[in-house]
Amino acid sequence: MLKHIRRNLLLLLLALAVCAGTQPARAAGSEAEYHSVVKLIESYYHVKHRGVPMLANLGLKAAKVVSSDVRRAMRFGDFKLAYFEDQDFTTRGGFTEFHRLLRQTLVPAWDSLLAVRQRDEGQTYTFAKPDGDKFKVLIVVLAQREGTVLQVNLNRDEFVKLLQDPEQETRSITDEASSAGRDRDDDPE
Amino acid sequence: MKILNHTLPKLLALAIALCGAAFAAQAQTRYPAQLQIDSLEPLAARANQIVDVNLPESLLRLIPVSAIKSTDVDVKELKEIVAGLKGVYVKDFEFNTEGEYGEADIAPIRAQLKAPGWARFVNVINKREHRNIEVYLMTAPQGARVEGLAILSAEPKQLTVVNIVGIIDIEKLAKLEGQFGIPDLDIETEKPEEKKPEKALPAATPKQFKKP
Repeated sequence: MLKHIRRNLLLLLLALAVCAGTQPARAAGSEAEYHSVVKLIESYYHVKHRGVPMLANLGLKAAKVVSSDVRRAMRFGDFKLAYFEDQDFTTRGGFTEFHRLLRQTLVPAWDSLLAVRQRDEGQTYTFAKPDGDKFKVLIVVLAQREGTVLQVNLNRDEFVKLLQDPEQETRSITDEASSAGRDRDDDPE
Repeated sequence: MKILNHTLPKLLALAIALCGAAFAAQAQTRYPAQLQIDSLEPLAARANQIVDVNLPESLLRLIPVSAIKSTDVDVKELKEIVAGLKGVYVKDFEFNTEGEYGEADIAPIRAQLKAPGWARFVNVINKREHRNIEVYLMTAPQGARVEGLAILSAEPKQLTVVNIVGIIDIEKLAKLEGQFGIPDLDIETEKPEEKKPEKALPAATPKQFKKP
C-alpha cells in the first residue's frame, strides 16, 4: 500500500514538475528576458561589455552596454535601455539566424509584432506582451555600427497606437527612449 | 492512508489536465484562414528588405476597441472592422533588382490558397506598373460570410502578402489600408464598374483597384 502511494506521489510530483517546466518563458520575468536578449546580441555578434575606462585610456571608443532604469515623465513610464556603440553588426552576414534565435529567446512569452530586416541599414524587432493593465514592449534595433535594446511599459492608448502603426511607433518610441537614456548613461552595468 | 491512496490518482489526473490546459492556453489558435506566410522565409536571403507585421489574436484582443483613434479613416467603421478580426499578418519583400523571385517562390502560398474555402475574388493586372494583385477570400462552409482574406501583390522588385483573419466586411477592406501594418495597396471601395471578379461570392461585393 505504502509503495503504491509513494509511486503515485512521485508521479504527481513528476507531472507538476513537467508542467512547470513547460512554462519557463512565461514564468520568467521580463527583466530576465531583456537581459537574455542583451546577452544574445553580445554572444551572436561577439560584442562584449568591456571596461569603459580601460578602453578610453587606450583611445578606443568603448564597446559600451549601458542599462538605465529611469523613471521619467514621458509617455511611457519605466524603461530599460542597453545600447551598443561603435560595434560591427555586419560581421555575421545574414540576419535570418539572429532573427530565429531572438524569437527562440522571447516567443511564446512575447508576441512578435514587427520585424524589419534591411540588408543595408540593419534590423528592427518589436515584441509585446500584456502586463496587468499595461503592456510591455521590447524593441531591438541593430544598425551597422550601433545597437539598442529597449524595454518600455506602455499604457493602453500608447499600445493601441503601436498596434495601429507598428513601424512608425517603434521608431518613435526608440528615438524618444534613446535620447533620454543616453543623457543618463552614467549607469554602466 | 486509504483516503490518500484514493486521492492521489485523482490529483495526478487533475495535474495532467491542468498541464494540458496550460499547453492549450499557450498555443496560439490557428484558424483555417490563417496562412503560414513564414513559408516565404527562404526569400529573405535574396531580399534587400523584409518587413513582417504580426498581430495575432492574442494581441488584437488586448485592444479595447474604444481606444482606437484615427485621423485618416472613419473611426466608427474601423472599430467595427477590428471587432471581428482574429489576426493580421503582413510579409513584404523588397529586392534590389528585378527577377530575384519567381512563381516558384510564391508556390507555398498558392498551395495554401488552394485549400477548401479559399477562392480567388479578384485579380488585377496593372501592365504599366507590372503589378499583379490577387485577392483571395476564405468563406464559411455555406458561403455566408467572409472569414479571412489574403492579398498577394507582386511587382518586379516587391512582393507583399497580407493575410487578414476574422470576419471581414469586404466593403470596408480599404479602411484597413495603412492600419496595423497593412500597406497601402490602392484599394478603392467605390468603383462598381471596371474589372469583374473571377468568382463572385454571395456575401461580398468585388473591390476595385485604383488605376495608375
